[in-house]
Amino acid sequence: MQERERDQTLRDWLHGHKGILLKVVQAYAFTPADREDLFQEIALQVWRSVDAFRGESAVATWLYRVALNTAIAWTRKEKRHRHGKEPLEAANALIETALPRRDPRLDWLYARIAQLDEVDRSLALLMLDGFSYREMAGILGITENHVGVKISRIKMALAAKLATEALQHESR
Amino acid sequence: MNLDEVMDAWRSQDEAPLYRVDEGRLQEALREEEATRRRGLVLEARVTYGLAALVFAGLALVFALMLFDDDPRTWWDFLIVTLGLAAAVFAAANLYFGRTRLALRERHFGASLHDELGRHLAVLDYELSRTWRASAIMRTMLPFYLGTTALYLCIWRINNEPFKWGTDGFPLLAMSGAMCYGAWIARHAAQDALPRKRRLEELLEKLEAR
Repeated sequence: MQERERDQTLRDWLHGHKGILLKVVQAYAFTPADREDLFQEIALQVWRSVDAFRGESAVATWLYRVALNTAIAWTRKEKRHRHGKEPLEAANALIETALPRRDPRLDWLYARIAQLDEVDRSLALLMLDGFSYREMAGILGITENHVGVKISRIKMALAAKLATEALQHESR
Repeated sequence: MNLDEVMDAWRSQDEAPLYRVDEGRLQEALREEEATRRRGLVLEARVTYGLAALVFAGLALVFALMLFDDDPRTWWDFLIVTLGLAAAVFAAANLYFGRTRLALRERHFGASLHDELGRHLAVLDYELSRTWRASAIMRTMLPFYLGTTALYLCIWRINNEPFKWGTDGFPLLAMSGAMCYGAWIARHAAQDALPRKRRLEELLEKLEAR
């Protein structure tokens, strides 16, 4: 595939599905500089993977696959080694916080997701976006049964946290 | 707040993403990144193949000169040339087959996270195999060292001059020093790959753990 076609495909995919990439970035990187770096790294991997996309799965599934694979293997250190310089200045930012201010419930949810280990974080994202166990198993390369065990553990932890905070809220 | 409310909040991101993306700058950054990666690969290939070709051509010329030289040549003159030629061929072949092997291993892995972690580990293993282990350093750098040393010794032999340690020995020492320094640099650079490899192995264990 020509580079121009690949650029166009990336543009189309970003236009339709950049929310997926941004969710993954938000779950795996916790400072603006890291988010910038991870987003660029994911976009780069998506761009490189355009040729490998055979249309056997939905674009959204493919993007999740690439984004999660990249995010999990990504480390903050890589950026400095890759570019040999500190993060980009704010004026050149690739991603900026959108206005208006986001829902505080989302902050709460992302904070809970951040407490999970890297693997469970990816499962939590897929679960929240409504992927089936089968799709999750395909994306992660583990069995559906295994996915089920992990998901029920994540759901239980999330529900317990919600219950604890509800109790604390009532007692105040 | 209950789980339904949390899900509502989650879905709200699809209509109003948390971040805006500068797509023009992104394209520019990607192009820059890809160009840097390609430059690195091309540079490594050019330096390795170029140097191997240079040493090979020099030794082939020396070999021809020895064959048609009026002075009789000893068997070890030819042995040095042959060893040097073999070392130059080995240096080029090592890079070529190393890259081919890596490409095959990369293709073997699928696109799931499990496979991807395996692929990353394979890439790191490849990097480490070229720069970390002593045997790998020997495989990458020793052929060049042997090739250039053989070329130097052959030129000295053709000139039929007695060996003087003060002048003739210096280039040999300098080449040995350069090889040790190169090995040290490569090993130092590879140190970053070790913790990364451990981290990926841990992730793989977490993924497989129940």
